[in-house]
Parts: sequence; C-alpha cells; structure tokens
Amino acid sequence: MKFLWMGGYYPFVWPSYAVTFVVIGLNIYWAKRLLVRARRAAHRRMEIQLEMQEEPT
Amino acid sequence: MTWTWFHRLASPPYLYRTAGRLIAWFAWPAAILIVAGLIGGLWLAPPDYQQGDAYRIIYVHAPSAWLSLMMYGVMGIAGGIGLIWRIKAAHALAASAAPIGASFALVTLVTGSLWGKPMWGTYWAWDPRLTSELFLLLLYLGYMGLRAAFEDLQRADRASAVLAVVGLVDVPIVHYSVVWWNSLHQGALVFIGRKAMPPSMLIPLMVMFLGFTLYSVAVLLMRLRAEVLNRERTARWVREEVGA
Repeated sequence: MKFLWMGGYYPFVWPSYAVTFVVIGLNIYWAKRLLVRARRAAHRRMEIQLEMQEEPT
Repeated sequence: MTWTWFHRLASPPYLYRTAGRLIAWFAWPAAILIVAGLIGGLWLAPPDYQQGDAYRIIYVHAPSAWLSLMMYGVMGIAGGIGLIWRIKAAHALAASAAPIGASFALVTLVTGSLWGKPMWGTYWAWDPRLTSELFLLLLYLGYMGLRAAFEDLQRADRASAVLAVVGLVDVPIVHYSVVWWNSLHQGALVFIGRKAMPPSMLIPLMVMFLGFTLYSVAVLLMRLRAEVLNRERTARWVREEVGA
C-alpha cells in the first residue's frame, strides 16, 4: 500500500505511467495494423492484376 | 570507408527486408530494459529529498521528451536527404517518424503537467520549455496534416520535407530553453560533477532512456516497412513478398 500511495503523489505518478504505457502499446498496435493493411492491400492489388491478365480478350 | 551499405538502404526491397530482420533485435532488448528501468525507478531508487516520490515521473517524462526530439531530428534530417538527393526511402522514413514523435511529444506535455501540478501548483504555464515543446507537437501535427492534404505522393513528400527541415530549428530551442531564458522548468539533467544525480536514481533513468530509444527504433522500422509497401505496391518484389 505504501508503494501505491507514492508518498501521497499517487494521483500524479500513476496517471503519468498509465498515459506513457498506453501510448507505447498504441504505437505498437498502430504500426502492426498499418503493416497488415499494407500487405493486404498489396495482395489484393496483385490478385486483381492476375485476374485481369487471365481474362480472355 | 565504403558507403555501399548506406546506398543499398535506398533500395525499397532491401530496406523492407533489412527492417524486418532488425525489428526483433531492437524490440526485445527494449522490453527488457524498460522493465528493468521500471523496477529501478519505481522500487529501488530512493525518494527525492525535495520532491518526494513525485520525481519518479521523470522516469517516463524525460525519455518521452528525448524521443519527441530524436524523432523530429530523424524526420528533419530524412526529409532533408529526401529533398536534396530525391531518395524515396528517406521520405518514407520521415513520414514514419512523425506519428511516433507526435505521440511522445503529447506524452511529454501530459506527464510534465502531472508533475507540474504538485511542484509548481499548476498544470500549465507559458514557460519557454513547455511552450517550445507544445510548438514541437504542433509542428508534428502540421507535418502530418500537410502530407494528408496532397493526393500526389511526390508533392506531399516535398512540401512536408520543407516543413520538417524548417521546423528543425525548434529542436535546439526546446533543449536549450532552460539555459537561454528564465524558466520554471528545472535545468538539464546533470550527470557529472557536484550536482550529479546519485547512481541509484541515475542508472534507472539511463536504462529507461536506452529502452525507450530501442523501442522507438523498433516501432519506426515497423512503420517504415508499411510505408515502403504502400509506396511500392505495384512493384514486382512486392508480389513476391506478399505471395500473390
């Protein structure tokens, strides 16, 4: 309890750590999501290209 | 000294694959260092004789401030390289650094406010350090907004790179604001001499600095891969990469 109390400064110390680690987590999540989306978009584009090549003229 | 390795980084497929290989080498040491820094900063370091336990905010505030400046440095220098040598990979790097830097500029301002309330009695003051850091956040937002305003990627790259290079002037202003002007904010951290922090406080801080830096490089590489893939989506190597 003494540790969580932080000498009475808990309303300032813990929110600081919370904000920082939420942003650290969000940065990882956003970067991963961006990469997955980029790969998916590239894959879809390639599939469309292949379909267009296979279509009889 | 041969610069072949540097020139090869301008090749998108080489950059994409190299970044992919490097991520784990930065991410895992970063995780270990941040956990070690947290243990040192929250448990092992003693309370400050003036600020009590409130000073522990420094273990997330100062590394976040460093990242906000470092990412702007990366963005400005990469933007400049992209403008001068017309290297697309440099523009991709600059674009990838901006959201990371902006998020840590915001963290710096929020954690600084949370530290300021018990120490100064206010969440915000128009102090040189705080104001220049806020300006840095606005520069990041301006950079990202400017990029989003152009449909043509090349024009977006050039216009945003000019802003990034011009905005570099704010980086030394943020850093030296506590030296150049009277400031509520405490001075730069002193590592040696009479005013040095004791090792029990300083070592966890250094560990957090290193951990945050490695973490930011890992996230930057992840974003860079996505940026390169988006830019090169019609290239043959991308087809091989995504397995279509």
